[in-house]
Amino acid sequence: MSLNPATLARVQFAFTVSFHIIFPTMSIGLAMFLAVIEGLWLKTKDDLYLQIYRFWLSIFAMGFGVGVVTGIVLSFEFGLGFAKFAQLAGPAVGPMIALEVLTSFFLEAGFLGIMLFGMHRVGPKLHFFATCMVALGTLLSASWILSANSWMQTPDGVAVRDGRLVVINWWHVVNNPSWLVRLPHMLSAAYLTASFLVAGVGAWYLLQGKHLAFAKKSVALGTAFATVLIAGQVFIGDILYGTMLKYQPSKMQAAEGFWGKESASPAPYYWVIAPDQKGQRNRFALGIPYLGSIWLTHSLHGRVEGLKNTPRDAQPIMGMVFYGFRIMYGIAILMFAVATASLWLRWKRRLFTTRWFLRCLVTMTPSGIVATLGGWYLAETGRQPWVIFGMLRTIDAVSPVPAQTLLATLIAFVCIYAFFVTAFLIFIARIIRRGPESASIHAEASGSLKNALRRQVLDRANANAAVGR
Amino acid sequence: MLKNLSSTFTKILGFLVPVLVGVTFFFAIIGVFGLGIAVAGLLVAVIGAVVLVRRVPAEGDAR
Amino acid sequence: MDIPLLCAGFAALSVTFYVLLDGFDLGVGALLLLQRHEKSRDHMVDSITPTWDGNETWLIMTGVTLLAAFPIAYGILMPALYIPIIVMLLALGLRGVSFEFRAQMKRYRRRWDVIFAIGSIAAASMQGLILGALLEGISVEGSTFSGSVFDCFRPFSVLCAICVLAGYVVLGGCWLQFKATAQLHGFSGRTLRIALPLFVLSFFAVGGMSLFVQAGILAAWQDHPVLLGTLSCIVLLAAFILFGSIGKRPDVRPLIAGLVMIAAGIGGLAVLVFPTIVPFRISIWDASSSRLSQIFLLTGAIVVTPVVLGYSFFAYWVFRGKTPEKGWDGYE
Repeated sequence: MSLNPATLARVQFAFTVSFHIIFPTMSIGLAMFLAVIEGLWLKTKDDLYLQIYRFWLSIFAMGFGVGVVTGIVLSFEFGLGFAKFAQLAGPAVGPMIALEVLTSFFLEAGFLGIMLFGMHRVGPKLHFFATCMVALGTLLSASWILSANSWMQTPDGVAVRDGRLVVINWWHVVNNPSWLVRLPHMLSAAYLTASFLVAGVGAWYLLQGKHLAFAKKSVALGTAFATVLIAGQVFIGDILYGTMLKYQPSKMQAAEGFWGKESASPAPYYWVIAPDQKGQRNRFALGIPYLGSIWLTHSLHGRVEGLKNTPRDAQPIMGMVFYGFRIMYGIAILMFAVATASLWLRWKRRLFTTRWFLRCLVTMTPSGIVATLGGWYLAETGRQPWVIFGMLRTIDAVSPVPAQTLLATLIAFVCIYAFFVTAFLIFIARIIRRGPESASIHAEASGSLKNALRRQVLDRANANAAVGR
Repeated sequence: MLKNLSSTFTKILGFLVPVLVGVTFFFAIIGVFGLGIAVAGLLVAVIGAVVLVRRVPAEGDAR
Repeated sequence: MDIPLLCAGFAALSVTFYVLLDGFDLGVGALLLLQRHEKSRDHMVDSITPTWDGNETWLIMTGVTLLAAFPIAYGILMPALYIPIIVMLLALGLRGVSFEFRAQMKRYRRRWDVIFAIGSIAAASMQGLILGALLEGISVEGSTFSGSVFDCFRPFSVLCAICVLAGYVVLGGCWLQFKATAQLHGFSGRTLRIALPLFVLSFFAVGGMSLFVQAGILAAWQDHPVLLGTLSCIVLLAAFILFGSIGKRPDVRPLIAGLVMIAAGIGGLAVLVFPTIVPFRISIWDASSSRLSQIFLLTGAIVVTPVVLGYSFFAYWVFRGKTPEKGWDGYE
């Protein structure tokens, strides 16, 4: 890795944003899951649903917290690493990011406290409303951020005057060409992530023979949601593919691993390549024959466009784009297979006793997270060398900060984020080890404004005040 | 021996059928057979999954 | 209607809320290092537990307002203040995690206390450093930062760091006077008697030195002598009232005096710097984003800010009165 400021700034941003995306993805998914669970509890009055709710509430709270902390860093990092991008794009993406921040605070201020700590303070219907509002809030926050990122991919609604960006049409900025396809894709990814998290934990307990009612319900719910979601996700993904083919041809050319202006006919579908960007060829390529033509051109003998169709100075690095895509797509296929298997096993009434399947589910627990990361690497490395596609190149957007400083702060970030993730994992492991029966009615994370609504805390505070000190 | 063959045959069939159905659906949903089939396939997959999940309670699921 | 001015006002409001609200819990965190008595340390942490992390909202609000409404300023200030901002962000994050860990792992509580304290001191110092660098003047060429990332480590900035840290410790001490009982009450009084004079001295040292370090400040004094003089007098007066009310009833008086003192200081800074947003370099209007963007931002801010303020007020009201000595978990 060269000590080039542009590269270091990119690596630093890539590290912090990759770390960050894991947590909001889980939060968006778990919030919706919690809303569904609480709804089911209210409808069926079955305390098993309440147990499931409590179990995942703590994990949700901690993940939300880490997401906020890492998100704070990002809102400054645009300027820290990419000052020129911030200066140019500020008028367009700034308000959207501001709205995302404001929406988060709105929901945090209003409803998260009630959701995490208010179970005994407010009636169950109001509590359910709070949970739903939190789920809605995470959805809205995600929409704003995705609109900002989509604007970077397919900019619209602006004009450049005197070297500055002027917003001409806000609706076109927000509703840019790729936003409304990328949004359902990301939301489905989040919901799929939660589904596999839930199913995986349930499968783990089933394999251990513990907490059977909780485990069975978890596996049933998780696989059910995953089955419905993966079908939709694959469909949306295909539509998104077509959209990006239109607006960012260079990204999709890099994503498939073909170099030549026109591939051989019939084209294989590559799974492993060793690309040589300098030589503009693959040193090695392994794929399934015919499948490329079938999947990519929907015909048996179609030819696929390769990266040489894009001028060299506008080409993304094929290796990263290709593998980001393959990881995401490969996991999608696995998810689809697991979903199909779950339906079959359900039909055969063997969903909870087929051990190889349960072991699969356990392995697939983090699959949503890995797939989401793969997809984002596809999206972001595929947009290169542009930071605003067709408008501003990444190397022209870097801050005037020396390489050594960037390297030092990168190392600092890695160390401290390692600390955060360790804390998170230890916390989760404890919750899982203790099991759902001992899940408290309130989230365990402390030190927050939300503490204001813990029942015993409120009682103590009121008692204190009553003494008149 | 015949009984063994038949149960092995059933097991193989039990594996092949879901795989083929699954792969076909996958191809359909990603539009290999055209947009219309893709939408139809998606609807069948989602509605089918929902119906199956509701109608066929997984064992141990008293509700 | 001068939209850029309104946005600048919102940014100023944001940063003011942040300093006033986060100041005292950074101060309490810093004071943890001086407190040897274990139960007192727990008591100190308990006093800020209910409300501490919501205060950082305002910091983010400031940053994002700059990005959306004054992107030119944002793009100059971030690389210019690169090192202190990153250290501050990491320190704040570390505080958060150590706070959670402190509650979960009772055996290592002391270690987490130290980490929490160091994080608080680091964050406070970096904020002071940033202030000093801003006042001394960022090197700008056109709309790009043209200096070195190490420019902010000059003597004047270091003096500002000491001043801000002292100011936060004063606020922290005032908070403890208000919330604490018994031994801690005495501790906070003793701390205030040292920290307050230190703050006042460093405040006026900073004021004096600033006249030599930044020509723009000298010019501002010449342009608004009465306003700045009055604000300085308010700072001094508030400091005297604060000093006089240490250890006496009502316990809230030092805190109010402290908040007024700091607010007056911020007011003075605003007068000095106005109408530039990259202080003494680039004006609010030159750094502005497109008009529609600023209107968009202001609309969102007007809707959400009252909600956030309302909720914060509610939380502070719920936890009114003294912090119970057994802590909030006593009856868990």
